[in-house]
Amino acid sequence: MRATIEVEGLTKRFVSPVPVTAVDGVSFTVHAGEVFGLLGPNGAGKTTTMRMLSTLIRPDEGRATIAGHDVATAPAAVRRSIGYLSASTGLYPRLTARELLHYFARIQGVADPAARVEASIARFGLEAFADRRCEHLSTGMRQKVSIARCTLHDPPVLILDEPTSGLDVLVAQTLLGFVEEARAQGRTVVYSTHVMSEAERLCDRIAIVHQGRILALDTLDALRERTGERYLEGVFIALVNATAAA
Amino acid sequence: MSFLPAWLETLVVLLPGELRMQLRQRMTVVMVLLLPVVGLPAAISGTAAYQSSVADVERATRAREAYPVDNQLPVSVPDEMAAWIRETDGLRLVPPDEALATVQMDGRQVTVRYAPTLASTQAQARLVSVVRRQRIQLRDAALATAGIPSEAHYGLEVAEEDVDAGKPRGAVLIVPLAMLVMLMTSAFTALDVLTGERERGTLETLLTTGADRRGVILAKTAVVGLFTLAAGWLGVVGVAGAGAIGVPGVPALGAAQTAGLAFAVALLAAIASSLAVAFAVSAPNYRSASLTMGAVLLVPAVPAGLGAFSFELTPAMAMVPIGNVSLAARDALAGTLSAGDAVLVALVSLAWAAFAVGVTSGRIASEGALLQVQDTAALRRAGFFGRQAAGIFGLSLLLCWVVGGPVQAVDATWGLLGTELVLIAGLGLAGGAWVGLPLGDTLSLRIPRPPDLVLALVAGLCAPGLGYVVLQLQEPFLPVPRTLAEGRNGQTTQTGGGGAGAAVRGAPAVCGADVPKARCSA
Repeated sequence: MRATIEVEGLTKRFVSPVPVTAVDGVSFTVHAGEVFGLLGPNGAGKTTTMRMLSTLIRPDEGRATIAGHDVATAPAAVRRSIGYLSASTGLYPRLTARELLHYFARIQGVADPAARVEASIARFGLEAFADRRCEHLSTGMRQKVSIARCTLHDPPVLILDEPTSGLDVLVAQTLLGFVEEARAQGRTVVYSTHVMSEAERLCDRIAIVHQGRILALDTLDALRERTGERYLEGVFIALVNATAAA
Repeated sequence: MSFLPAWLETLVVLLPGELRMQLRQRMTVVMVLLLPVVGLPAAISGTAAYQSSVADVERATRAREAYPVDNQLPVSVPDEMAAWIRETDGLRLVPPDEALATVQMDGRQVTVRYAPTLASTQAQARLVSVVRRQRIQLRDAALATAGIPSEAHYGLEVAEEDVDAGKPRGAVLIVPLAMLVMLMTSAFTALDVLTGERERGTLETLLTTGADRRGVILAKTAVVGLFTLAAGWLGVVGVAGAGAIGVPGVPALGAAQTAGLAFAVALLAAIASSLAVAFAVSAPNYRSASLTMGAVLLVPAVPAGLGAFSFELTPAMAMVPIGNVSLAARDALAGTLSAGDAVLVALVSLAWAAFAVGVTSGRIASEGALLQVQDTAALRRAGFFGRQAAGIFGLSLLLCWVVGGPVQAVDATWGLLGTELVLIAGLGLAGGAWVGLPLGDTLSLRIPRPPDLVLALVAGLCAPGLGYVVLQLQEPFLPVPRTLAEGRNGQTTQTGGGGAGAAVRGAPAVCGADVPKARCSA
């Protein structure tokens, strides 16, 4: 299977306010049509890894390519290949949903942006509130608009950083359904979460991340076999404890 | 549009959207329309009226102190002169241990010694006035002895009038106050389009799209610049309109003056918006950005106020950013600006603006500058707010030290008042920053929360009043050098015999409502 994302020895250090190595030599590959999970507690380094993949920040060491483009040397090409969504991803509060989608369609260089926006509104069921300002939308409506926004240019790779954080169950279900649909369409998805049930449901392979390092990377069944734990939560705790003991 | 470079293509796409979003912000209407068009002329008119009232109070105070209510004047004078004083207005003299001024007489030569303090110069003026009157009496007596009428001595009667009291002061206030308005607008806009977007997560969204980064930066900077320029130009329109309809204290501007002012404002807008963008990008979060930005407004406001003082637009002063425009605008409004000076100031200002934009672009392009986000708790743990408070207070001390001294040398009263205001404001801001008061929202005008507005109102009302009270309280404690009484220090006024008049330095206009007519010296 062809690897869409290749990551090798990725490292990022921050010096302020206190020196810390947020990501320490992370390596993995993700194939087309695969949902790859980054699982770990808050501060494990998931978001920093996602940010390096989406070219928001540069790695200090290591190399990463997405759809054949290097994140350090061809960031513009990488950005055209990805759709990025996180819990903190914001919408412009003073634009309507339709205006916002049109704005981003133009930024992404979509051909015939008006038609594409209308198709996207229909696809995600935004018709009822498409002309309402984003500041007046509920959390669920906003997340739907965010999903529509990040798929406007039909990217082959989706980078989703804890996208269900703060969402109620119904909206979270919509988003999980969207990820499953993306996989069925052959898109590559990198999905970070600290919610074990989401990882169990969605991810083809899971990387357990702790203190900037990958403790284990395999399918859920293989991880279960390795640790002897039935549930992912137990798998995670067993791996962290084993690392601490070592 | 594929023929356009990527950055320009991004700029063309982003700019209309950014402008639309800003125009939908209610505070934008206040910052770009209401503040310049209504607030600026009102501030000019109000400040001019305030200045006049302070000048009136100062004159009245000087008059009262020159003629103490209890008829006491701590001066050291010869017995002969003491007799004159007793004869003329019954002033009681105080023993000369802490004399404000001394008089020595050597035949026809009278020497008045005094120090460059307000009280001492008032005492000196009072004594010179007595000497003058005595001189007139001696002359009249001599003329009468010779059988010549005293009117024959003077061909003309001279009356003095203080023209400064009624002079419109608004012209010199236009540039400093317009600069303040533009700084507020640029700060508000930069905070919203950069720091605010960063905290809302929309900047992250934008930077993960195919938009060219340089184009994004330019679009943000352009939005700040355009709104700042709009505020400045609308301010000029507001001032011109207010002057045309005769608002008190606001000067009437001609077409050429208005155009010149608009050009000056454009130069200042470039610098103001660059500064605002640089600070908005550098700040770790919105809270600290709004707090720091409020304090930083004081710094460019200092050179913007140069035009209100008696500095000349020399080639050296033309190099001072912001200050040169202030001086040039003042001279242009007075009709004394030469074409050469205008060109020099324009070129220097354009160079400074280009420098500011260049530095800002470099700062923005640095790694992580656009996405640097740290939470407040982490900043507090790292001691950020303590350092910030120390920095703000240090900045106010530096301003007092470096700028306060020269300004006081030019105008003691306004210099002291300004110095104390900066000190009080610096102390208040530093304290607020340290304890975490929500001053940032008030200073940035981002969120007009009632408690913040009350705080701002109280601070605004108290600061000038407190400064003035401190100034008045200081006066009795200003050290009067003992050496003055011994004739070894201070300045002197000598009145020669015959017709040579005394060179009275800083003589107050003592005739007014507070002074009995019989005691008027001039």
